[in-house]
Amino acid sequence: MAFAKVNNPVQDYDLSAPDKAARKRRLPAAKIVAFLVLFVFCAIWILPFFVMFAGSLRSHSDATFYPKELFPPHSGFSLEMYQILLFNQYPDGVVHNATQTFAIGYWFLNSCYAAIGGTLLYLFVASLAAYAFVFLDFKYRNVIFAVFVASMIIPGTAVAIGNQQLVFSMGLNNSMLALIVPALSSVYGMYLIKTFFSSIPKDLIQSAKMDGCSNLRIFFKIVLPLGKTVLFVQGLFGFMAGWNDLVWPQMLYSTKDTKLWTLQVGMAYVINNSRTSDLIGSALAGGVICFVPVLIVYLIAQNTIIEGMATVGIKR
Amino acid sequence: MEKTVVVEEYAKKKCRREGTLRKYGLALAFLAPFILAFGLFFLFPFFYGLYISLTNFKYGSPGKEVLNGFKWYSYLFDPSAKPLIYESFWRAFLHSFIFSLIMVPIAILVPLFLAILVHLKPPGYKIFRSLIYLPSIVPLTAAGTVFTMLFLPAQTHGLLAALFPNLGPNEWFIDSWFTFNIGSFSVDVAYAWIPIFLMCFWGGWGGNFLILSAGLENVPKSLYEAASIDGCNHWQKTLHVTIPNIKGQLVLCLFTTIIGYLGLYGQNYVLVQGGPTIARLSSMPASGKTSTIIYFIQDIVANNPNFKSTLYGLGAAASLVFALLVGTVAGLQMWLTRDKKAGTRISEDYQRWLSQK
Repeated sequence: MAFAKVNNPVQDYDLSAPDKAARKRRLPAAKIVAFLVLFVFCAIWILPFFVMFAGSLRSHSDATFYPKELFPPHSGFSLEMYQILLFNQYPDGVVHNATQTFAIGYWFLNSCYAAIGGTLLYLFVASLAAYAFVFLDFKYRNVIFAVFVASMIIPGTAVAIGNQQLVFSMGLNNSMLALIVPALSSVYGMYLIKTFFSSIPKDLIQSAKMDGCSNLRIFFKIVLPLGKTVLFVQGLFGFMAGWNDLVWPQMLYSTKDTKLWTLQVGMAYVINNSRTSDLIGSALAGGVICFVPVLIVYLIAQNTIIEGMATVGIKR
Repeated sequence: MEKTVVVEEYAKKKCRREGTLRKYGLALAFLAPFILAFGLFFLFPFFYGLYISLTNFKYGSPGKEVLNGFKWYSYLFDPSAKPLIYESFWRAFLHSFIFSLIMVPIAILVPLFLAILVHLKPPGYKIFRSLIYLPSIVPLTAAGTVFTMLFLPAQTHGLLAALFPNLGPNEWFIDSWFTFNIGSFSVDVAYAWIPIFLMCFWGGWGGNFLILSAGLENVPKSLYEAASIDGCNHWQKTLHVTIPNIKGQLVLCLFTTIIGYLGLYGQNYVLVQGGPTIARLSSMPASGKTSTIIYFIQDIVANNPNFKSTLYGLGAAASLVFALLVGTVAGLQMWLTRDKKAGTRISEDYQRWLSQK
């Protein structure tokens, strides 16, 4: 295969060749400085994680009598802070004034439901709409789409109060459905998905139609598999947003049954009842419980998240 | 026995089958769930909120309200109608506004600096990139626990108070730092802003970092080469090649950050519950020294049952005023970025038209 490689004289002729040699001498210094600065920066920036994990594993007496010894704790690691949070078992000598019991198992499941269920439902609804906007031909298509895009100017705050009254009057007071339905109206994800669908070649869809594929079949068999990346990215954003949301769950359930709270609402309550050296560890334990699922998602999908964020920034 | 099909005949049949009704019906079927959700959970609540803000709506018993003109809006804009509400709203507004004024440059320059460093591709830059973005995915409450623990007062053994006994005030979440005047308006700055600031400084700009990093990746290499042929040094290249080429990303970051910090709420709620109360405003929503606009709204519509039953319409009015503010910023951003895109599109169209001629 000696002839397979065809040299392209234009490509091989490197204009910057002399400069490259100069750069080789110069750049390592810049790289080393960059490395050192980034290293110091990251070392400082991961300290809070360290405080969170170490503090949650410290017993309440250590936290009170040896507050400086964070890692390792004075008398060894202890899981009693997790016991407070998970089973409402307060160790002897801990003073607390929590009036509500912590139902962190329920909060966790509710958050999972809001983050995962809401996101999947939204992805389905939004990609159906995006399909219609890209591959179906109908009158006023661009006008309708422009109306949607223009509505992105109105922030969620403006509709939250109307939504609160709406879900209450729909009888969704104590229903988990209320957590996820308002997010279905978000235009931003649909816009993102539509932008991606537009890059799918139209010929592909046309030929599938010629072969007698129905639109629904094209949607499920061709468009959705091709749009996997964007659906995944949007899904991750949706998951993060649903998991971290505090304002909307607070508007729904703030003074009601604790079993309806999400992790964020519950944790805000835990923090507020843990402002002593005895109990602050239980808040940190809650922080760990709250953070670990997101961390796992991030570790699995970090490249997708990072590149997804990047495309969002460029596309807009 | 094969059946022959004439192409024209087939096309005609196909056309007839795909009549207008069917075509539109199909599009409608695909769009219906989204349009339904949009109408039900966006358009309707928007106008319903507008209506609530114009009536004496009673929380818990809708349907009995009557229009009361612009009463709630007059509370917000007329100092003499309800001086205390006026004061607490505009104080909250000032808090949000000044904090975003401080935070926005930081939340753009720090990620820009780090993105430039990462773009030099030092060893292990991918790990650095992941680590730098990591704080941004931490749920608000999880980050809040850490900063609460750091800043607990000495008698409850906060970590900072234990490690550095002489640092800062005794009670980080209660003590006042200093006061300053804007006209006759005296703003009391609580030490509690420092934990809030640090929390935002720690995890409030990761998205900007990724967007700017991606922008740097997309700057054409040839420009740098041209610049170095022209004798530019590193700093000049950054200033004259990098920055102009990521202007789009910078504008995007600027506006999203402004909008984000105007809507500051979670950090204040989790860390200090709106902060040390101002005694004079203690019976008003957003009575704290660190309360923000969203805090004002959230106090009325969610956190305080008392305000919920008496001031619900005021919450709706305040949320619309806030939406107008944020909408203006967002509109400005859309206009700025659209203008550029339309410009390139027009010039491209012109080029195409020229080449066709």
